[in-house]
Order: sequence, then structure tokens, then C-alpha cells
Amino acid sequence: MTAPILQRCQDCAQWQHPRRDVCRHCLSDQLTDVTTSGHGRAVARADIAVTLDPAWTHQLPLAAVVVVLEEGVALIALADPDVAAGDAVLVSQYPQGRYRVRRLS
Amino acid sequence: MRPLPYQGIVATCPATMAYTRQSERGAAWWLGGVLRQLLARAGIAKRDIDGLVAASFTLAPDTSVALAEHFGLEPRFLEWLPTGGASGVMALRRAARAVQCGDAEIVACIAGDTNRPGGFADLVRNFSAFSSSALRPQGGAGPNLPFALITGHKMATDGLAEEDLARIVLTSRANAGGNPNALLGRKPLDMAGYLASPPVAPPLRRDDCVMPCAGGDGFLVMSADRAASLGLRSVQLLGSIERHNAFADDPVAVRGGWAMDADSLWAQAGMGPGDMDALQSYDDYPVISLIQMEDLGFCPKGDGARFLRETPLTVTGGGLVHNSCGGQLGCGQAGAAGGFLGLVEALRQLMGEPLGRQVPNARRMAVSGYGMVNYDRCIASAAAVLAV
Repeated sequence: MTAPILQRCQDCAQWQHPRRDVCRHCLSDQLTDVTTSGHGRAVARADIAVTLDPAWTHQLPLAAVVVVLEEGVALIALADPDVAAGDAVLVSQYPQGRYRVRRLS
Repeated sequence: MRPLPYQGIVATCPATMAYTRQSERGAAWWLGGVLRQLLARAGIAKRDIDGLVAASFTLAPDTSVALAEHFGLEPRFLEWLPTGGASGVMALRRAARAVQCGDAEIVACIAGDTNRPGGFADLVRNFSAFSSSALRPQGGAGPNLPFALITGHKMATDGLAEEDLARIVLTSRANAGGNPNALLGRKPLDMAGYLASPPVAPPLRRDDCVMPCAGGDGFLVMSADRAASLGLRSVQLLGSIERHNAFADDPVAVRGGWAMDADSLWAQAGMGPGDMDALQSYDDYPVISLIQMEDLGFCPKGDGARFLRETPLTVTGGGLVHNSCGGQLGCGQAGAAGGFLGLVEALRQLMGEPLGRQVPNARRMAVSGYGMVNYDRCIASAAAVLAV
């Protein structure tokens, strides 16, 4: 578990998510994986009551949020149940590209 | 720069292959049935079709290229629109320019999909590279999750109650009541029933989510002169827009490409939202219909709560009519044909031959489309103004 590792362009220094083959700003292919601060703000909240993926069925319901990281990138992530829109949060990255968001008190 | 007017170009012969909840037929059966109806309706032969525009998800790996061989057509204009909910308006735009510029004389625009058991889960699993890599690991809820987040955000920022957005669902189901092609038309829904609908991705309930089904829709595009010589009633295209990947830096997609281009649409049409007898929006989720109402100028941005309380939306309500056939929320979502549904309904209404209830004095309608959830929003948006 780390803070989210996202692509950053070595030419224009912009971050991006989801992963791409070239930079969405300057189209450079000089992209490197860089660990973000993990700090951000939740801007939207929803829940998952039904999944199409049997691997998640026994863990429902799940909370999910849109987080805008300090780096300026927005991502969709699973969240602790007490996270609400507007909260300052910390995002962690787990295997298989799963994110988990905790509320900073 | 204002686009060239669509002078003398019409759409005609709205056709629908009756929707069914599931089907063991292939996509080409649905698409072929639409084409067969178009020929019969227009009284033309297959060789008269010299342009083909098609959209389908379940035809994969085939495209319109394979359909030409499948149907024994020799088109000199061929398009494939992998743009789902935006494909109807985009088909009309492309076909209109092809006819206007002489690249084709009669263009058949067709969309259709089958729905085999388990087909929707398969479609979601392989929908886009971004959704596979970045969305699917977050609980595997498919498109319901990004749209639940958009809905939750819009409710919080705009002061929308669940009863406000529910009005879009309830009025769609009421409009579907007159339409024999609407799979949910015989299941009336009131507010209490809506609020009792089981949670899918709160704030989204089951009744906010379209029901996947099989079906097909299509229409013909030709010159007004050709339609007249064939004795066909037809509908004029007054203006149209499309935009892709608009407002990509919005962290939550509460605007679509319509907000970027609505002024152009109304300038082309020479009229405004207040002149429309109906809006046929793309209703994959109710909040997306509200966003189209806002971005196209029917409702001030952020004022949805008031607008939805004051506007009847039903065919017989006496105000702006929304999705007169019931939309996808009332009819079901027949894959890419869902992107044709509103356009085909507008043609039917304007030609005075709806499957369901007739919008009184229908002369002008706006149609909008929204297609292809890639990660956290749909990327393609389009709209058109039609008139008789």
C-alpha cells in the first residue's frame, strides 16, 4: 500500500489518470510513474449496492468518491463509509489498481 | 464560423423493430429488420440505398463493412458510428452532408442490438480501456458508479431532492404508457413506488437505470425533392452540433458538449429552446437528461429543482414535452438503438404517426445524444433541431 502512483509527463510536468500511452496535454511519450502525495479532497460521494463483478459481491455495500488530488488529478476511488463530499482525504493504492480513501480528521 | 445550412435535406421513414427484453437473434437480424422496414416504407429497392450508416455494440467484431455484404448492398457512402448514445444525431449529420454534397442519394441510418442472457455484463466488462484499468477495480459496478457520482454531486450542489430527479423517471414512464413498444409501458410508477425501488448505486435506484433489451431503430435521409417524388412525408434538419471530450478538466461531469455549442445550434435553427414542442434527450440516467435540459438552454444551469417541479414533461401536460415515447427509461435500452430512439421518436411525432401518444401541434423538436462512458463520463455529445 502506497499513495497513488500516477503518470507524470517528463516534458510538460502534467499528471494524468487513467494511464495513457502519451501525455494528454503535450502528446509526449516520456511518461514516468510518480508517487503522489495521496492528499486530496472528496468532491462527490455515492455507494455501490449492486456489482457486476462476483469478486465484490460479498463486500457490498461499498462507498465510492471522486477525489481531486493535490496534484490536480481527479480519480474515482472506493472509500470508508464515513467519507463525505467536501472532506479532506488521504488516498491509498492497493494491488490491481484499487484505491481506498480515508477521511482526515 | 457557422456551418453550411442543411438546405433541402430531410429525414423520413422512422422504423422500429419492436423491442424485446432478451433475444437469441444476432445483431444483424435486428439491423436487417430495420432495413427491410425502411425499404418497404419508402417503396424503394435495395439498390436505391447508396449510403449506409450503422451503429451496434453486439455486431462486434463486425461493422457496417460486414453489413454491406450481409445485406447485399453496394453503398458508395459508408459510416460506422461506435458512439452509442450519440450515434443517432451523428448518423443524421453525416448522412445529411453526404446527400447535400452528392456523395449519396438515399442513406439508410440503422442501429440495432441483441441482448442475450448475460450480454450486458459482457458488454460492460470490455467497454473501454480506461474503464477496465481504472474504473472496474473500484467495485465493478459498471457505468452505474460514475453516474451515481454525477447524480450525487448534482443533488448536493444544486439542492436537488430525490423527488425532483424522480419526476424525469415518472414522466417517462407515464409517456411510455401509450407506447406499445415501451417494455415498461404497462408498469405504471408513482412516487411511492419509485422511492421503494431498490438501491443499485445510491443515490441511483433500479428505476433510475435503463433496462437492457434488444431492438432496432432507423430512418432514411434524402433530398426533400426525392422524398416528395416518393410521396413521403418528411422532416427538415434545421441545425445540429456535436462535441467530444468537452470540459475534460471538470472533476465531475456536470456539463456536456452541448454547453459548448448550444448557441451555434440555435443560431443555425433560427429559433430557441422556447420554440420547441418537445425535447427528446438521451436518458441513460435521469440526471443526464437534466444536464441536457440545462446545457441546451431549456433550464438555467443549476435550477433543475425549480424547473422539474414546474414543468410537466408529459405529452399531455401542456408544457415542454420530454421523451414523448417514454425514452429509454420507459422503453428499455436496446444498445446503440438507444442512441436512435429519441431521433426516430421526433420524426414520428413531427410526421404525425407516433407509436404512442401524439404531442399536440408538434412542429419543432430538439433531439440530443450522449454516448460512450469511457471512465467517469460519456465522451460524445450531439444535438439537432428538426421541424416540419
